[in-house]
Amino acid sequence: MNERRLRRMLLATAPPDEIGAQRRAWRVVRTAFGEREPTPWPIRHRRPIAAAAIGVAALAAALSPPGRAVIDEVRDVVGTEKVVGVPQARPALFSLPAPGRVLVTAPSGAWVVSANGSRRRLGDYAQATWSPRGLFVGASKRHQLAALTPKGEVRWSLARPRVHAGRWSPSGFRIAYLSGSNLRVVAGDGTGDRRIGPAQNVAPAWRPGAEHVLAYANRSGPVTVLATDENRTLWTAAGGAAEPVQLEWSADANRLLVARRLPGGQFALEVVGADGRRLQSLVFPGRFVDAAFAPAGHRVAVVRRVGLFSELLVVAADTLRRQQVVFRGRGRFSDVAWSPNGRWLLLGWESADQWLFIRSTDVSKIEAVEGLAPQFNPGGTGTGEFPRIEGWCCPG
Amino acid sequence: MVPDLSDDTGRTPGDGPLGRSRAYSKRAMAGLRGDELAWIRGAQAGSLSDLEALFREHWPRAYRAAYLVVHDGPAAEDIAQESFLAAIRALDRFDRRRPFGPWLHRIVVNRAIDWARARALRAEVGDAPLAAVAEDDRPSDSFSPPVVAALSELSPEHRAVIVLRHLLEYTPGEIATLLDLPRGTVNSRLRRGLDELADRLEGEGR
Repeated sequence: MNERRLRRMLLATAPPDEIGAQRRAWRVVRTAFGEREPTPWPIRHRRPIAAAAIGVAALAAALSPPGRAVIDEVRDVVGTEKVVGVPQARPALFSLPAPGRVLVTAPSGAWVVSANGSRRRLGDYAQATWSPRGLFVGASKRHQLAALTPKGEVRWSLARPRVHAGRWSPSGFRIAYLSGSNLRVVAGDGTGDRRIGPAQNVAPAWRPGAEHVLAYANRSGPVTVLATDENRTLWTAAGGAAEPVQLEWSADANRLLVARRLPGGQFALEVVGADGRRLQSLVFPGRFVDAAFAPAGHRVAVVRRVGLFSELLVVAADTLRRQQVVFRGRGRFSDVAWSPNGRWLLLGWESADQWLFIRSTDVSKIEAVEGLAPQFNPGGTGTGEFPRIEGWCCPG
Repeated sequence: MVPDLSDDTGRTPGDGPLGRSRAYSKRAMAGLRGDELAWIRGAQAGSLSDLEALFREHWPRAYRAAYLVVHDGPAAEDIAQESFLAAIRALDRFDRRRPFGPWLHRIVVNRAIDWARARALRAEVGDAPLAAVAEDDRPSDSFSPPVVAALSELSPEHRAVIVLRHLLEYTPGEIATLLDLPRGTVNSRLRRGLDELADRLEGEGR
């Protein structure tokens, strides 16, 4: 086909109501522009300021040994330094090393990544959770909770204020979520939504099994384990003044992991038995980032940040003292997930803009993929948009 | 002559910038960069008139590109509008060394592809009554010349590369960057899309 002729034809195509559309759009754009809060000068110029600061610090380092300390300090404060990740990383996500699908959220919305690496955007959602067999996704944005198919078809939606931290029960019949500072539970078909009570801003955790038993951080302090259908508290686990930041059940429902952030750059992991007795507790140096129980057994993958480095550990929940550093790297790690077969760990390395697939039984095998931020934010600026791993679920 | 954005009287499609055909390739951007830099700087500093200049410059092609990918006027309007809003939200972080057009088109075309894919999926699960309504609501023939009808038979991905190449005049390398695709994929989509388009247009003419 003659390309010039095609271009002429495309240019001659007038979309409907071109002028009207332009006027309407301008009104919206103008209003949005008027309502935006201009970024203060120092923030708008953060990158040049950071670059200048690092330059000055580098000079100082060259001149004197104490200057090296300045460099570290500046890097720590700036925190957005792009680090070099695993070499020879694949430039795009061509496939997953194990069966299953990965649920991801980014500023562009929620995405499902299939085993062959294909990505499907589900819509403009901020957080998401798999249903137990991966047939549905529970997704939330601002004031809405929705159940979607993995193709993005909305089955139902529910309007509630400030919805976040949704978790689908292992039975498939309930979704627990936070609405503002309240814990609520709704049936898997979107009916029977009800308030459970005030809760802290920590994602609730369903105990594996057919019964609907939920662990959540009660606003009054203790971690509460509740049979939600009868609204009956089974037990509570007090943990002193430190507030929990994450709750995770082991796959056999016999262990509840409670991560608590402590002052002084430390965190504590507590392991509670099925009857509410505290079995283990250990304080770790560093800042807690994420934790995930393996799909079988009592191993826990833990991500922490210590100084300028981050670490992925695998910890035996039954002792907490058997720890294996699986991977250590400069900058920030974001989150971790186990493959459904338990053989791989997926680690987000935000500072390097990489995902690392780590063979959990053989740490020498690492598959890296880089350029995640642009892949999940087409059209974005590529900064500060690293995708969050919401879960690696069952083969579809 | 440019459309008056403040009133509802007067102009027809084809007036002013709506009818212009400046391409977005690096070559063609050269003359625009000086003005555009000033507009972006001004808009970042809060100048409404500079924002309006940017909008006037880029809206017509953004809307037209979205329309040619999704073949639905209201959806194209939403996509182009949302893309501008996204651009405004990120304006303070925008790197002024980069041209604005490709950045905007990347957002527009990717959103348009997503929308077209989602619509195809919805159709799969059966929207017969809605399809009948949509049939009645289709744009009139004056807005659907043969090229649009032929284009609508292609997949969203093929439509997108054809629109980027032949309406906005990006090079295959630039399209590969915009869509995060290997250059070979862009070339093969272009070749296949053009072949299919030619077949369909010839079929129309028989």
